[in-house]
Amino acid sequence: MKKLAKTEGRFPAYLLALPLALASFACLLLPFVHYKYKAKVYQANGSAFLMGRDICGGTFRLTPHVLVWIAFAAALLCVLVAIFISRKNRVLGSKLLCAFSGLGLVCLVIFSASTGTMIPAAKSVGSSYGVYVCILTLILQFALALYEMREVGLVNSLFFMMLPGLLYLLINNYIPMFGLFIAFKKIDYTKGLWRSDWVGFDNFKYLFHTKDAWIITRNTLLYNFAFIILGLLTGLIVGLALNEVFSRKLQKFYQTTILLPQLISIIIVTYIVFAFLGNDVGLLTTLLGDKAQNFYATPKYWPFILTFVHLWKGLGYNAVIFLSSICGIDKNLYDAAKVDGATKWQQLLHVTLPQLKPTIVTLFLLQCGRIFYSDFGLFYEVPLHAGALANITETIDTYVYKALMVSSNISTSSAAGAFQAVVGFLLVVTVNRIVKKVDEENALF
Amino acid sequence: MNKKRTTDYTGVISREDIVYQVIVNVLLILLSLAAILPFLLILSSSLTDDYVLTRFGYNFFPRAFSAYAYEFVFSRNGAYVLHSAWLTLLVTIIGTSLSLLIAPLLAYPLSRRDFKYARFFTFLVFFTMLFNGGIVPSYIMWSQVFHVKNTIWALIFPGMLFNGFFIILYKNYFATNIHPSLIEAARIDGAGEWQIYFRIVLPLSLPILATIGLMVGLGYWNNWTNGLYYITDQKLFTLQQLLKNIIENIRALADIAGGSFPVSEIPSNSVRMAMAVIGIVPIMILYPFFQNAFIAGIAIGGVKE
Repeated sequence: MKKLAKTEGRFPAYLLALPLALASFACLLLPFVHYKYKAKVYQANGSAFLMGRDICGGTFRLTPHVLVWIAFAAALLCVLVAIFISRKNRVLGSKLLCAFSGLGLVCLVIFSASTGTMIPAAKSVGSSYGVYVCILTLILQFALALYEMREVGLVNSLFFMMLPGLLYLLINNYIPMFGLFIAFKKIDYTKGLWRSDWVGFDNFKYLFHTKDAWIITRNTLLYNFAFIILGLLTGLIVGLALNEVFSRKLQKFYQTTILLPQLISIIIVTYIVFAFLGNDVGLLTTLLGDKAQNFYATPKYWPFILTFVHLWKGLGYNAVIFLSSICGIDKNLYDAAKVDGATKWQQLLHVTLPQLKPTIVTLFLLQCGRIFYSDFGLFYEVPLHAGALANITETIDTYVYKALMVSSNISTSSAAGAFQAVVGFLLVVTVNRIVKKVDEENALF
Repeated sequence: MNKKRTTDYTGVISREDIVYQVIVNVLLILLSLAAILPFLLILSSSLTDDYVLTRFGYNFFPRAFSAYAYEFVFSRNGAYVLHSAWLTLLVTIIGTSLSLLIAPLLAYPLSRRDFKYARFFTFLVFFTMLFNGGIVPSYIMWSQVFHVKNTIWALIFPGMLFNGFFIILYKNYFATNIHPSLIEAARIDGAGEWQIYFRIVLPLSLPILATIGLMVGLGYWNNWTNGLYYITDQKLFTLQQLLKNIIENIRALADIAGGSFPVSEIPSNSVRMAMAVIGIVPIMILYPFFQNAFIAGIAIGGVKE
């Protein structure tokens, strides 16, 4: 039903792009970068980057930044071409206008974000106002291009509705994906992200040569296996029990109460665990009397404590999922079973459980797909990051956090993070294949 | 969840049924107690005299009743605790509103069958659920490129606004509950796309907005990791971050009061628990009002475990 609208008689928005494009070119005469060289502050204008002669007395070299600059300047020229094409063919012209103003914008943003490391010979390099004015003109051109695409019927309002959400996904999810390259660099803060040296797989080699890699992988996998199996089992039992409750009011009450722990943050859980196990004051510690030891210094209890806490917090969650799945079972099956004289136990074994099998299998597989990820709060905060417990409570997530924020070891941290991201991705894809075979409907994709 | 019962009790109640009822109810009463009692332990401990706590430890029954811990917190740190509670509320409101504005707007076009880019953009959304760059690149991006450190935006934007799964939930809801003929009729009446969305689609989608809005709001209220990564300025501590600092080191209470009193003066055992109560109470008060949306959210898989 979408046909390209007639272009004649519609407002030629592309003509407005012409003065803006010329303004972008004029911006090249404004200062783009300021830097300190031999104790004097200089400004370099936008056009200086092509030759580089007047930057730092000519010691400026061709770096990736200059390539970005060239791409930006080329995009500016192409915008002009696009505007001229628009006079003959508005549909093609608007596409080109959009593409090239967008390209120019991206290049210029990268350029201005990386000025800090641009001129090796100079000190305290930074962007000047010319860059920002130029970015502004390019944003306006991009907006005009979108408007023009709408005028000629290439995009409609539905497209514009998605823009804010897509922008957020781009920033929050897609840019960090490309940031995975950090794992292949030896980050040196004095050089900055871009100029740090590539080291190939050295960060990974280093990570896997330490004992840490083995410990965090083992912990993450073992805890998750216990969590998945026990979580599904308890959830299933409680879901079945909830379904059997005769009084609806009571059922609602139980459900609401069991869900309470799901509601609170892991920080509050930490307080609760402390109230039971805290040294000298915890309820359990005092009940044990003389036999008590400092729980926060005794690793052997923590696998059980953490598993118990996880089950306590997640019980309601799994129970509600199973309850809603049990509610979906066809009632006629039970009537038929009763006619055949099946006891409640037989009904459970021969009707309910077989009917729940797809749910159980799917939940199991989906949770296996996330087996490389752990609940950071549970493993970091609940044991109060006690050093004595590190070996038994450290998971990939806590390791990445500590390496990044506590010991500022970006190389190891990013290697562990990339390891987690890639293996996690492969697992999800594999698991989805299996789900598809087991139960087509519940497959993710 | 009270849709259909699978068990039919309309007939004669047999001995077997009674046995089952007893077993099931006892089990669930025990589990309910297990869920509630830890909160009672915290509450009663916060209301016990600090000296008694030091001597006998935390207990379900206050051996010597005392509200001194609350008096202490509110007289020395009252203004600060209220400030951080207010900040948490503000972040929750701004974040949830932004999420409810932006996320359904992204999901709605994806649900439209006549939108030709729908498949491509659905994949873009979906892919974010499968793969992510991890915390290191996002931390560097948010702190070095967007400079969110020690601003309120650090509590609102990084990773919090919405995720791909919410978009898919919205999309499925729109696709099954908004009939295309409704949109077609509105278009014939001369409504534009924006008008159709705000006048017809949104009012018909209040249940899913309530459910996901609640999930997002709870996420903001309970979030402490963004503070951990991006906030060092005490003025921007949310309630959760404040609680986290206090459980790790009671000194945090003295620090936020400007270090004007020695740490040894703090009745630390009872004050800790009093702070936990302050953190729990707001959400417990509101729970009865949002429990239905909360349970619905879990049933559609919207709550992260």
